[in-house]
Amino acid sequence: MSPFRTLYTRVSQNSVLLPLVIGFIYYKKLSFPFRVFLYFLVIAFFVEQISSRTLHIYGSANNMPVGHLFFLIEFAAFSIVYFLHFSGLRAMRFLIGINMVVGMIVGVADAFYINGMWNPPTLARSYYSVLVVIYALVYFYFLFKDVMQYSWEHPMFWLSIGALLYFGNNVLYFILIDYLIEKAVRIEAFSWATHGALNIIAHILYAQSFRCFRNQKVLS
Amino acid sequence: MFSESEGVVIIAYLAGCCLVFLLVAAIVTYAFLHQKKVMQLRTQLHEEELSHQQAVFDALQEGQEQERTRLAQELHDGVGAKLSGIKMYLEHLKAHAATDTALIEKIFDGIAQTLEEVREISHNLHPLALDKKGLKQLLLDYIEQLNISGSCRFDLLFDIPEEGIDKTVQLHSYRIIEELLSNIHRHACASMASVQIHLEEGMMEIVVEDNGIGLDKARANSEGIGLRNIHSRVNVCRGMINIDSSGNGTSVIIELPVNTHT
Repeated sequence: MSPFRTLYTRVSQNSVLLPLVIGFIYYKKLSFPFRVFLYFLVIAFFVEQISSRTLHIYGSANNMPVGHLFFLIEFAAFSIVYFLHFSGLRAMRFLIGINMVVGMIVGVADAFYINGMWNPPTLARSYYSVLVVIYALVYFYFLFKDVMQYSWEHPMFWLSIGALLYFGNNVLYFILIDYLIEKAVRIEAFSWATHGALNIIAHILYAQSFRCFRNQKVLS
Repeated sequence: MFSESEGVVIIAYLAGCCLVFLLVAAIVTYAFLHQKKVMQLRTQLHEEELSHQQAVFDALQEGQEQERTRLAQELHDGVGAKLSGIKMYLEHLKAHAATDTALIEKIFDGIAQTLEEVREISHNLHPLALDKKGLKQLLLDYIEQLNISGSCRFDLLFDIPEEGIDKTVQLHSYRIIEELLSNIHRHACASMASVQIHLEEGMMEIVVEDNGIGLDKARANSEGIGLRNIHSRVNVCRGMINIDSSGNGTSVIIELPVNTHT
C-alpha cells in the first residue's frame, strides 16, 4: 500500500474520533437515541483500531470476521436510532423491527453461505445500506412536512444527511466492488477513495448532530 | 479498454454515485429554503400576535374610558345631585333654625366638602365629556390648580388647533400631561415647569420640562405605574416618547399623531 493510501486510510479510520469527542462533551444533553449512536461510535473506534492492527498477524488471513460482526452492529445501531426517533409512527417502527430481524438473517447467511467469513459481506452491506437510506428519506419526508420546524436545529437532520451520503454510496460500491476490482481497478481505486472521503464527511456530520444538543430546545 | 457490457456497468455505477450526491444536494438545498420559509412564517405569526395584542390593549383602554365616563356621569347625576339637594335643605334649615346653629353649620360644611370631592372625582374620571371645555382650557384649569397649591410655577404654551385632533388623542394627551405634572408636583422638588404643545409635521409634539431633581435613569425605564401608564397611552396612540433626565431637571418629549387612524 502506498504511503498516501496508508495515510488516507488512517485519517478515514480515525475520523470517528471527532464525533466521539463532541458526543462526550455534550453527553449529558444527548437524547437516548443519540446516546445509543454514541455507544456505537465507541465500538466503531475500537473495531477500526483493532482490525487495522491485527490485519497482518496471520499472514494472508484478514479481519473480515470482525468486519461481518461490525457491519451487523452498525446496521442495528442505525435501526435502533431511527426506531426510537419514529416514536409516533407505529408502521415505521414495525417495519424497522422486521428489517432488523431480516438484516440479521441476511448477515448470517452472507457470512456463512454466500460470500463466506473471510470475504467482504457485500450482499449484507448493500442490503443494510439500502434500508438506512430508506429510513433517512422517510425522516426527511416527515421533517419537511412540518412547516414550523427549523431543520438545521435538529440533530437528526445532520445524522440523516451523513447516513444518506455514506450509505447511499455504499449501496453501489459494495455490490460492484468485486466486479470493479476485476474489471476496472482504477475505477475501484476512485470508489475506494470516495468511500473514505464520505466516511470522513459522515463523521463530521455526526459530530454536528451532537453539537446541536448544546442549545437543544426541541427533541429530535 | 472495456467491453460494451463492462462499460455499461461502470457508467451505471458512476451515474448511481452522481445520483446519490445530487439527492443529498437537493435535500440540503430544500432544507435551506424550508428554513427560510419557516423563519418568514414565524415572523409573520409574531407580527400577527403583536397586532392582536395591540388590538386587545386598544379595546381594553376603550372599555376603561367608557366605564370611567359612565361612573363619572353616575357620580355627577346621582350622588352629586342628591348631595346638592341635601345642601339646599340644610341652607333652609340654617336660615330658619333657632337652636343648634353650630351643628347645622358643621353639617353644611361637611356636605359642601363632600359635594366638592364628588365633583372632583367625577371630573378626574372623564374631564372632556363633562366639561366640554377642550384640551387647552382643561390644561389651563389643571395648571392653575397646581400653581395655587404648590411652590412650583407651571406654564403652558398651547400652539395647536384643537379641531384637527382626534378626541381619543386629546383624552390620552390630557391624561399623560396630567400624570407628568402630578409627578413633578409631588416628587421633582422643582421651582419651574413648562408644558409646550405644538404641531410638528402632522404630529402633536408635547414637551414637558422641569428644573427639579430629575428621574433616576432606572426609574425612567422601569415599570413604575405612572410611567407605565404613560408608555401604554403613547403606544395606544402609536406615538413616541423620549425621557431625558439628570440632576438638573427632566425633559419628556412625546410625539402623537393627531389622528389615530393615519
